[in-house]
Amino acid sequence: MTDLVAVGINHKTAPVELRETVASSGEELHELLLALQNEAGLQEAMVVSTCNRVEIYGVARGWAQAGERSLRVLAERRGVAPDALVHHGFVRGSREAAEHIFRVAASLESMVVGEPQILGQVKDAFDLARSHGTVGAVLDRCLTSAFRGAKRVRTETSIARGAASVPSVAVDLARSIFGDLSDCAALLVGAGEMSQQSGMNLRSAGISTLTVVNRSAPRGEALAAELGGRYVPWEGLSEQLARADIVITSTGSPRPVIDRALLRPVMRARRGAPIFLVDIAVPRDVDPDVLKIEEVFVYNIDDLQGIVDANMRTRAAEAERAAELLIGEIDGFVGWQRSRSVGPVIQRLHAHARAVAEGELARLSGRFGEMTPSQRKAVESLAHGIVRKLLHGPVTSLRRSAEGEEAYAANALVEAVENLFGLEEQPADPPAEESAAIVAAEPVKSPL
Amino acid sequence: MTVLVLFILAALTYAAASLAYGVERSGDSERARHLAQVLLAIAGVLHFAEIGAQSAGGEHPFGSVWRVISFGAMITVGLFFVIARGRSLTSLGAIIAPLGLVGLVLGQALDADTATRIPASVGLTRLHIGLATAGLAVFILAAGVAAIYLAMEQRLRSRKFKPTAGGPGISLTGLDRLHHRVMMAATPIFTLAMVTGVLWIIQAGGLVTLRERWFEILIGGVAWLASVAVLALRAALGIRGRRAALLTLVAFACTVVILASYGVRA
Repeated sequence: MTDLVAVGINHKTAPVELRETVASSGEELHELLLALQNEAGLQEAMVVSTCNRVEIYGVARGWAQAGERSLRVLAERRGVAPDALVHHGFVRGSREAAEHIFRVAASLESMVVGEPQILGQVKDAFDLARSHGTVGAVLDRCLTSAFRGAKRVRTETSIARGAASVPSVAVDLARSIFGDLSDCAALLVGAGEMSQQSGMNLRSAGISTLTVVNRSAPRGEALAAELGGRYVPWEGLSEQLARADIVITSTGSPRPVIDRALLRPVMRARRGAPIFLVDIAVPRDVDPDVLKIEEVFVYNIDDLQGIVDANMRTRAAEAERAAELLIGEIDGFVGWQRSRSVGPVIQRLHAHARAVAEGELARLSGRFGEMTPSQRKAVESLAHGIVRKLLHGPVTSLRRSAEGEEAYAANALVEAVENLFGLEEQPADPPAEESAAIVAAEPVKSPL
Repeated sequence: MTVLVLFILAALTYAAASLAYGVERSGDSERARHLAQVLLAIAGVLHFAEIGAQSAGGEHPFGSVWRVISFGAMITVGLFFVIARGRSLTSLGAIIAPLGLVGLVLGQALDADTATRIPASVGLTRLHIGLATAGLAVFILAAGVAAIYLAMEQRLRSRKFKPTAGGPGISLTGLDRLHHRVMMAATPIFTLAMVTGVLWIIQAGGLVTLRERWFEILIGGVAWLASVAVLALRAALGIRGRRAALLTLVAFACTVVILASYGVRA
């Protein structure tokens, strides 16, 4: 009987060095998918490879062994010691594997819970596997259900609300003050790494005009060129403050570089237009006294970090709600998978019993000579009736085990029935719809 | 009978809209926001129908101080939807919905008070009341926007503001621009109301009426000056934001005092 398996490494289980080495893309992924089918014995396979996770989702008989084989195939392909991957990796099967896939797609397993990129990355991985023909009925159903669950999580919970990083919070605050940032002018005071990150964030937020003011001209010019902005010498700071809407300061100055005396004439020149000062320097670049001037908004690094922390707390609380919400979707998939797993066995059991009855009837007719049609009908009816009543118990137990909570119980029962009745395994599972139809068509009847 | 049924339906819908806005404010639910807007729109339509039914029954909307208030509240609800188009103004909706309910109830419950009846024969009186009512409706919106601006500005300056990426809400400068536009609409209407008011005083008895109504006239003058100052100071000195919002609230407070004065006098 086939089962779902999820194996791999991620930011929770493996260091970044190992993740970097194992990460795959393009043609490597294609080869890996083929190797997983041919060498690891996965009937279906897909690979999610991002900076935070390299995970294989597949379908195989005996998920534990198939999972370990998959990890070894991955290790061989990426030139990593298999033991290292086994040590840092995880292997999950059946319901746990489904839970993992659903949680990954819904961003509950992400480093920043609720981040939106992972859903797109899983969708890309799914599409790639489908285009290579390594997705079958189980993965298709599982991932489709996982995407639906992820969508529900995003729309029915607040898991994605509130920025999760200091630069993003600064941009959100700027939007709260100015609305659309495309008409806003930004000023970076200082040309360090923080200024660079902030500048890139502002650019991606749509800022049209960006100016860099720095004491060192070469560094300032280099940053301005990198960000597509303009460099202005330090002496032009006051003039630039009068023109900028958003100011991000991150100099190494031991004393504030923007104080009340500097800002008062600037605000007069701005004719009441608000200014948003983001002070990410330590020690602070902006004197807190400037808050006494109207239309001046100042946030320092602690303020921004406080908002990030609050947002993360909210996301964590929402993650619990999201996990509860996913349970229904996971149950739906697991139920479908179980009903699919017992369908072929029931079918084979009936076929086996029919064959036995037909054989015995043939033997009987040879022994007693020709029977009249009504006699033959009566004997056939008797034989099939006995078979039906004998099979009622095992079939009912199989169906109930498929509907039950414990997957291992259903698997054990399927194996027991196969062994007891000597049923030969079919080469492949029938289509999902067919299996489901078989199960649905078998009403529970009284044996009496 | 029709008026009473419409009144009950409008009151219930206003109450439901107020509740939905309250739920939206506490839970930030998209569904509650949409429901609140729909309920407020239905309440406004029912309110309009109630006033229409009253008029069909021979009761003019300017027939009494209380009916004028009800009419003004209905216009405010209508104008809210005009300015809320394309903007997320749920905080303002949360102010307007209960205000509509109060206006509706005052117009119905206290209308029987004969002391507040306005003489129907004087055309100038009705014009003055009509303009003052329209001006008041726009002022309510301007004051609502100004109040929201001040609250948001205070939270931003005290660093208690929690931004939500891509979430609902209008920006601070967006509120300032909206406030300015609403005041641009309110001030000319209010100015015309002042002019017709002066003409009415002259027609009604000149100095005698002036002496009788000196308090309302004085406060009305302060309100008018404050509303004009909002526009003039912005144009001349670039004064906007907090100071402009405070001036609008002063002007609005004056109009409330005038209404209260009429109520007390009645």
